[in-house]
Amino acid sequence: MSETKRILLADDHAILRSGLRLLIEGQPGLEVVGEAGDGQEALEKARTLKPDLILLDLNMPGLDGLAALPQIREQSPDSRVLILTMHDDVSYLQQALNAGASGYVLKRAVDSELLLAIETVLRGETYVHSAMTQKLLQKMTSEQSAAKDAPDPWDTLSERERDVLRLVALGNTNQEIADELFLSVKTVETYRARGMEKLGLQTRAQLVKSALKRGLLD
Amino acid sequence: MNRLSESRLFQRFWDIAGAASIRIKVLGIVLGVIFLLGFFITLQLRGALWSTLEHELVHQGDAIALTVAQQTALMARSDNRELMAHLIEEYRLHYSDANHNTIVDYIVIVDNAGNTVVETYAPYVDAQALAESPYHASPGQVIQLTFPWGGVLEHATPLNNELVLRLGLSEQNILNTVNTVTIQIVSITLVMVGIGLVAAFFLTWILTKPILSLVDATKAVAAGDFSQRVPRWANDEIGELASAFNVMTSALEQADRERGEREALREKYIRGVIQAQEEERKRIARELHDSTSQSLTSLLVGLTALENSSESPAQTAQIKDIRQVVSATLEEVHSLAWQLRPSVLDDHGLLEALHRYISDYQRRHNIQVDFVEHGLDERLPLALETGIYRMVQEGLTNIARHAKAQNASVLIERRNGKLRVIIEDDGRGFDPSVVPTGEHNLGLQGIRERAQLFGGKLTIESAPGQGASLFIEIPLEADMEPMQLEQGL
Repeated sequence: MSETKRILLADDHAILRSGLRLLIEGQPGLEVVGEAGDGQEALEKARTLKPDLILLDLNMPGLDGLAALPQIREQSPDSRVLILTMHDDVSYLQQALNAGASGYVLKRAVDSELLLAIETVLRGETYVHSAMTQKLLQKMTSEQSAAKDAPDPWDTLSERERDVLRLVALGNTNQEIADELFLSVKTVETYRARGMEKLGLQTRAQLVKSALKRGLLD
Repeated sequence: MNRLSESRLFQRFWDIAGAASIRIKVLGIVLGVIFLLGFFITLQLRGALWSTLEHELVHQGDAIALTVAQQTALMARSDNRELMAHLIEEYRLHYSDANHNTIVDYIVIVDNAGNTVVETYAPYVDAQALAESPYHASPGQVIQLTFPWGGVLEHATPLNNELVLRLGLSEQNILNTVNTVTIQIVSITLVMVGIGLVAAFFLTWILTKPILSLVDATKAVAAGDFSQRVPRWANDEIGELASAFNVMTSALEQADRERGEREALREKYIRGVIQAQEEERKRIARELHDSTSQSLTSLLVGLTALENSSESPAQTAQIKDIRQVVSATLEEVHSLAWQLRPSVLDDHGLLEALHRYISDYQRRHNIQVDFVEHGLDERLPLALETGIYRMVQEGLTNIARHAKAQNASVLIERRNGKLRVIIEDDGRGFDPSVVPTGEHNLGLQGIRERAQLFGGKLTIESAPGQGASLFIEIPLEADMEPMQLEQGL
């Protein structure tokens, strides 16, 4: 470490802040230069102190971390921001990364990952909690796999099967489909099962995906 | 057997007659009575009139026969047949003229052996038939004869010991009179039929109008319109029926209103309970999240710092153990808070919350769940999002508990101002018409109650071995603006 890195703590819990200060200052080359109890305070201290790293909680009274984040980035573009939060939903992670955070650590992993994360982020890289990385990748791949699929076998369907499946995908009950097409419920069930088998689909949700892709529902 | 066929016959009659409207029935009765009356009166009157007129004719005939006999008896003595013939012809014409109410068909004088001595007859009389008509009246008798030209009353009066006078008086006048009277009676009957028809028509109108208005009102009540009242037309039995009907409908209306009020109260109560429950969950989740978790995090941070600065390896190991316990507790608290109410629902909306819930659910229950949404680019009112989240949660929990399914699917669609949520599984299914008891039904009941709170409905399609589909349909009002997001549960 060439020089001491200056860190700002932003969390509304004073005890947690003092604990974090104890933990961080126990490390060589790290120094806590300030503490903030809410977003507004964090914003002001970021402007005046220009720290190397801001440890930011997402949930804070008043201006919360997520709302303060873009302004902090604007006021102090050189400060890197590491999110420290309870939220393990991917949507929060995405939002934080989009708003300019460089890292994301869960509070429950604070003991094992915080110091590593601080180190990583200060090196100029991005750190995301390992379990969260997994989730993020899952979400991205599922979105991608939905985008590219084998050419669908809708063309092999009979006209009746296609009608029935289209109405199934539109969210109709078998009874409603039977009423609309002047068929019996049993017949509708048969067409539906046969069509689903031809398409290699198991659930209505899969069918809707397939139909949406084909533009059948608009 | 005979009885049976009789009762069948009656049944057939009643099938036809009973199906006729009241108007036709009353008209039938009135016409039937008038016709029968006319028929029997005519019959009776004709008989009475005939016998009276005939009696009179007999008297007249007696007088005429006596007069003619006396006058002719003088001629008979001289045996001047020519003169006799002339005389009886004169008498025949005299008593047939307009001054006398009689028509003399013939006058014949016969001897004791029955041979005609002299005769005179009207032009229309068939001489042959007259000649062949046997003389069978003993003198002084009156008999009725029927000739081709009509009925005749024949008087036989002795002229002297050898000759008998046969005087035939036509019954034509009687016939004419009786026929005239008959025509008059029939005409009167027909007029009465006309009057009867009008009267019956009016009567049935009076009778059926209130009944028809009762029928209309009853149909309206059956269709659920309890505000129906019928006017009381008259103070008769139908009027009483109308009054009783009005009493009944106002009682029904009252009961319906009370039921509606109870229903509204129950809905309000359920809404309140759900709202309170949701608020309480939110409060506890927030408390766990903001306070308990933060304290545990502080503890964790402190322990880590302590561990780092510890110099005794034994102490370090001990602190590490404690740290792991705290870390696990923190995780449990977080998971508890999430289960109570995911904050992502408030912050990022229904879809994110459901994605997360479903992904947890798949891991926990080993059921493949496909989740698709369509048309939900904008967020819905928070209360509705919470409601849908809970319904999907309830539906999937039901599937995990009861369905023994391998695949499930959740579909949320916004289309034509309606929100449709479909939760489907390929499990063992059930018969929705048989109300299942216990937890299963409780779950479905909960979904139904929640759907109804938003003016929606739950439709279940399932059969044993066929999986199950829950269709939740909720109308979206045009004024569901984000403003209402603030008023969420």
